[in-house]
Parts: sequence; C-alpha cells; structure tokens
Amino acid sequence: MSVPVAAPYRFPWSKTDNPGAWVEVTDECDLDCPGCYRHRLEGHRPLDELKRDILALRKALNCERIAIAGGEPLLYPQLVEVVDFIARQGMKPMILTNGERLTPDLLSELKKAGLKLFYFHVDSGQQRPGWEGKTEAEMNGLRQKFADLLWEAGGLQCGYNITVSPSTLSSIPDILSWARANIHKVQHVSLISFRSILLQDGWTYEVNGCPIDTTRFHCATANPDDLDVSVEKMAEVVGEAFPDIRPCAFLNGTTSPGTYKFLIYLVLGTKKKIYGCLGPKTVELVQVFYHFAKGHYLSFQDKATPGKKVFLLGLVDREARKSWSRFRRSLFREPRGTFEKIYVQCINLQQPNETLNGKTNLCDGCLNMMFYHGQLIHSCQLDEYRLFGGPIQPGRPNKKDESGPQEGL
Amino acid sequence: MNLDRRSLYRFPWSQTDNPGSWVEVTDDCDLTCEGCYRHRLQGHRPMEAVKDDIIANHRLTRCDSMAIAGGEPLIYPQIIEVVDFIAKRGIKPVILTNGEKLTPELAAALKKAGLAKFHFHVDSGQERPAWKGANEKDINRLRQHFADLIWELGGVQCGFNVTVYRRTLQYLPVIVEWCRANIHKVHHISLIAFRLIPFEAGTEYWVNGRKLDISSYQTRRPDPGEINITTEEMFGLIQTHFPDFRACAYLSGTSAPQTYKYLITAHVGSRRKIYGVLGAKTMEAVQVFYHLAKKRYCAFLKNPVAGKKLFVLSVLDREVRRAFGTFVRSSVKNPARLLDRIYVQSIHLQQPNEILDGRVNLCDGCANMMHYQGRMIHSCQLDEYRMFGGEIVPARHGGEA
Repeated sequence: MSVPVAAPYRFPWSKTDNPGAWVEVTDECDLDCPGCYRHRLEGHRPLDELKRDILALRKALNCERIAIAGGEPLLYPQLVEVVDFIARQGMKPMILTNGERLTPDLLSELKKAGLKLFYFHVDSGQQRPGWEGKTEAEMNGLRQKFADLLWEAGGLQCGYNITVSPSTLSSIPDILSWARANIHKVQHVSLISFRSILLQDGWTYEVNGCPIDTTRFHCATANPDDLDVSVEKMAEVVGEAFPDIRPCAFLNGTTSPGTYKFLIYLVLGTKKKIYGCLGPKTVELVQVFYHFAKGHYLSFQDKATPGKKVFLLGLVDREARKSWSRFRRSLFREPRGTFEKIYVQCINLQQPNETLNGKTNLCDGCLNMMFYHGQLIHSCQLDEYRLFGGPIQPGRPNKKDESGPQEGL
Repeated sequence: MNLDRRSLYRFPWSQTDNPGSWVEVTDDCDLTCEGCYRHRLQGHRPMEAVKDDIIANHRLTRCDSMAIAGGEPLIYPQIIEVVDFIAKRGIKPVILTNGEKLTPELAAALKKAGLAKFHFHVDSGQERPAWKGANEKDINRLRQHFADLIWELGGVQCGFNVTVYRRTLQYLPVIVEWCRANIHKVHHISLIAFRLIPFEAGTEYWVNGRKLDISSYQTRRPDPGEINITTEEMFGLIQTHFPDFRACAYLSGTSAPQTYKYLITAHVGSRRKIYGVLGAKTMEAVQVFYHLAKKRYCAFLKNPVAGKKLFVLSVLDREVRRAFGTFVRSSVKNPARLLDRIYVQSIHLQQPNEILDGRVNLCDGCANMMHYQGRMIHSCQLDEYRMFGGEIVPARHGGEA
C-alpha cells in the first residue's frame, strides 16, 4: 500500500532573515578544477575590508554562520584572524577548502580560533595531482583521509562539496554509502549539479541591457548535456539506492518556483547502522523554536550527536517514528546497539545559478549571500559583477517573443 | 522613527509556502481611478479558467486566503459561485472591490457563500461621481458607510485599500485616527504608496530581450517626487501623530532587500480606546503555531475579536505587556472598560512594484501571487505579461559591458 508522503518543509529563510552568509578571502587557488566558476582577478583581499563585510552581513541578514570561501582560503595569510573575528561576533565560522594545504598544526590553530566546520571540495572532476583519472568511489580514499584528520583532532564538523556531472550521477550511491559508513565522522555532504551559462546559436547574454563577450566567462559551456543533472534527478538516484531516507526540507528557485534548488535529507544512525531519517516536522520545529529563542534561524547544530532523545520526535514526525521502530527492532538482534551514539548527517542536493525558461533562476532564500561593493548579491554571481558589473541575463534580441506557458509545474 | 529591523519579524513566507494568493475574475470596472494599473483588455473571464487558476494557485502556494480581484469583481456575474468555490476548498475568500455595486442583499448572499472579508478600495483619487473634490477626510464618510454596512451584516471582516499620493500623504493621520475609532468595525487597512514607471533620461525598458515603447504601457510621465513615497515615510508620519504606533513584521524588496515593501502594525484595543500594539514575538508565534497545526501560514485570523486572553502573550511579547499595562491602568480609572471586547486591527503600509536603482523591486514573499498561463507571477505585473508576454525590466542605456 502506498502511504502518502509528507511534502518537504520550505525553509523560512529570506534575504533579510537567513542563517547563512558568505565571504571570500582570496580568488587564488592551488588547483584548477574544470567546473570552477571563479576567475583569478584580485588575489588576496585586505583584512579590513573582510571585517567590514562580515559585520555588514550580520546586520543585513541576521546570520549565524559565515562560510569563508574563495579561491582557496588556506592560502590566505590572515585566515586564523578571519576565523577568530567571526567567532568573536558570536557566529559560526566555516571554511570551504580543497584541503591540499591542511596540516594538523594549521587545523589545531583554526580550531582554537573558533572554527566549527570544514567543508572539503573533493570530487573526481578536480583532476588533483596524484588523483587524475580516479572514479568517485576511489576519491572516497581522499575523503576518508580528511575525515580521519578531523576525527583525530576532534571538536570540528566535517563536510564535503561534490560537483555532480552527468558522468558521475550514477556514482552518487558510492559516495553516500561511504558517507553513511562514516556517519560519526562526516556531518554534511553537498551534491552540487554542474551549472553554467549555455553558449548556443541564437542565444545572447547581457548585463545591464548590453550584450557581453561570453568568452571572458570561462566556465560557460556549449554542450547542453553538461547541464543535464538536476536536483530531481539526483533525488531519484538517492531514492532508488536508499529507500529508507526521504527529503525533509527545501528551497525553491526564484524565477521558476516549481524547481528544487536545495533539497535536504537528515540521515539518522550509528556508526554501525543507519536507522532512517528525520522528516519535515522536525526541521520545522527546530527552525522555529531556535528562531523563537535566539532571534535567528539555525544553519547547523553545534553537535551532530542528538542522543536517543531524538526518537522522541517520533511523537510528531512520521520519519522519526519509522527510525525509532527500526532502532527498536534492531536492538532485538543486536542489543549492544543500545550503547552506540546516535548521529545526524545532512545530505544536501543543490542546483545552483542557472538559466531556465529564459530567466536566471537562483535559490530563493539563498544561504550564501555576500556583499560586493555595498550590495548584497548571490555569491554564485560574484564574477558576473566582477567581470561585467552586474548579473548576467539571457537576452534574445532576434527571436520572437515566447509568451505563454514555459514552465513545467 | 522607531524602525529597527532586528526588532521586527520577517514573515516566513515564500513563493512556495505563502498564506496569500490572488485571482482576477474580470478587468472591467465601473470606476476610473487615477492610480489604477489594470488595462481593459479581456472583460469577464470564463468561470472554468477562474476555477483552474484557483486550483493551481492553491496547489502551488498552500494559501490560507485568496483575494478575488479585478477589475471590479462585483460586476462579474458568477461572483457568488467563485466565492463558494474558494470557500469549499477551505480557503478564506476575500473580495477587493470599490463597493459601488454592493447592496445589503448582495453582501448577504456573498456571506452565505462563505466570504471571509470585504476589502474596499476607497480614496480621494478615484473620481467617484458622488465624491468629486472630496479630500481624504471627507471620504472617511464613505468608508464609514461601508464599515457600517458590513457591521450590520456581521460575520464578515471589513478592510480598506487606500492609494497614497504625494498630495494625500498629509491625511494619513486622519485616516488612521478614523480606523482606530472604528477598531470594532474595521479589521484591516492597507495604505499603498502610489507607484508608476519613471521616465528618466537614459533609461530604456525591455521585455524578453526586446526594447519596449514604454508609452504603450503607461502614458503618464510621472514627476519623480510623486512616485517616491516609501513605507518608512508613511510610517514616520503616522508615528509622529500616534507615538504608540510601532510595527511588528515586514517583507523586504527582492532587488533592494533594505527596503520595506510591506510593514505591519497591529493595534490592540476596544471601541473606546486603543491600548497598544502587538509585537514581533506575537506575530511570530501566530505564524509558526498556525503553520505547525495547519501546514500553511496565516493570512488573517477568522475572528478579529481577540478577547482578553490575548494579554497572556505578555509573557513573551514586550508590546503586549505594554498594552496590558495601559488596559489595566485605564480599567482602574474606568472599570466599565473591563467589559469591553478587545479587537485586533492591522495597518499595512505597502510600497508596491517599483523601479529602484535601475532594477525591478518586488515584494519578497509577496502575498498576492497569481497563476497566469502555467506560471506564478506577481499580480502587480499581470498586465506586463498580458500585454507584452513578460516582465518589464529597465536597462541603462550605454551601460558597462
């Protein structure tokens, strides 16, 4: 019998009340990932400017988490100071890195400065020296290395960014199986579909009403198949491989509200066994009570070990109830499971900045807004502002107007 | 001016989880208002198309209420059927009308069909035949007429829309004062700043990548000073006259998030006295618990009679505590007030669809989205889609490339 599935919860986040924000310390990097959307234009940014941005972000967004990104932040000489500054404002600093420069010493310094979370970008498309031609399953070896490094140090959360292309879509189960086996070490996995502007005959792009030279935008692609992976397609792969988990919350697109731009699963388990997931009601309760108590929304919990009391959520949340019954049943077979710690792991599916139905479709309620010259922008559009002075819009000057239904809802 | 964003609640509404929605039944109207942004192109819409839109809209927004708008909905022959159709789906129907065609009989029939609220558009810029030359103060008498009619009817809420022009801005305190005195009859008023597309040298307008002759959409060339009233300006003016006028919640702009596109103050009082306002925490509690219980956000509560139990919220809301203090002090002086009914009345300040800093700045989390040919659009942009197939966007001539 098919059971009605509760619709995922739309996060209550907006442009002015949002748990997340973004700051870039440098646009330099020690890798050359093919899918990268950042151009090397400025190098390291002055620390004063960064501090001003951080304060402005907090005021404008009411945020509690700041992603330190780039470029490769570990190349930035005053990185420890940036982390310290964010932590002193009572916010949670998080670093997005490729991990190449991470040493145990640097790690302990950053931890001491107040860092909460490392997000490692690791995927087979990066063509890292020493990892050329490897599959996603083989890249789990490098992921394991970083996870172990953080686990040894303790007190820091560990996440991964993985760009998903049509050729690696089918490897998602390999990645998530590895993550599930490491639920005690890995708290976040973001699977991000590759997106860029599409160069095709008859298509032009413009900024502020003027056509632009798209060859200056180096991640543009001429192959529509490159842009074929969507959140829905990833969710289908996840659902087939792991029928025990369901998405609990989402953000939609700005111009195509029928699209999922950000869809999350909260996996529940011990290092021995996955019991299931948390559902929409849990996310809603956590977001609203956190906001009620603290005056801002939650980006991620300080601790990823909620303990067995998490099963109390079964009272209001169907998915938590299902996990609870799986947990109880498994205790009959394996009573020692009673003493295992319960962990929560967050799987994010993301479909970034894209042109859809002739419009730029961004994440509505984006967690990664940043300041650029005094203006709040989506961080995925930074280089559109840096290179062309504004967001790139699709323009079709020689085509007939295509009014009417365009969006599959 | 007391507008600290951190003391205000940003409604948790989005395009996909929103208490409000909008459907238009006709673009015909029996008045020709100065501020009107609707063009007469199609006349009455077929009932089936209206029903399809209602269903699609409900599915896409999870709405709690739906505005039936136009044009003038009361001249739509099947208006009762539309109200009934919406109410039967568990959505609160609201009619936006100029009230000219409203008779006690029609009002009663609409009530029977399940109408939750009338929203009367009444202001001095409407050129109503019987009110030529009337100012906003005079026209409070027409507002009173409608408020009394709905009060007699009972069981249906009463709200007003007022377009605010530069020349009528000075009357805001008079309008708000009238509302306060009628808190038992008037549950809602929207004060909406007048907006038009500016005609500035060097700015061109485009739709779907094609240049648009903007005079084919709007013939009037507005003076910049008449289309720049902001919610903050309206708020400041009202607050100078009523120091207890403090806002609790807002929506920001899409392209200019620092702007307040929608700013709400909720009066608490009886018909004899306004005791104070609700604060951000109460608005948050209402939205959040309503959503937890009903899986949708709250557009407005069915019963505007909040009762004295409202003051229990004092434990978490400073504003309610202050209102409670005022209530207690005034009841000590005059114990008869203990028997008065306590009402809540919301005052909305709105700054609609505008071109700001070279961009289209809409309400982020707009409560008036509508279904149009397979997609959800901001209802204020409907005619841009109907006439040109897309949203009108400004382009700076000779911008950087």
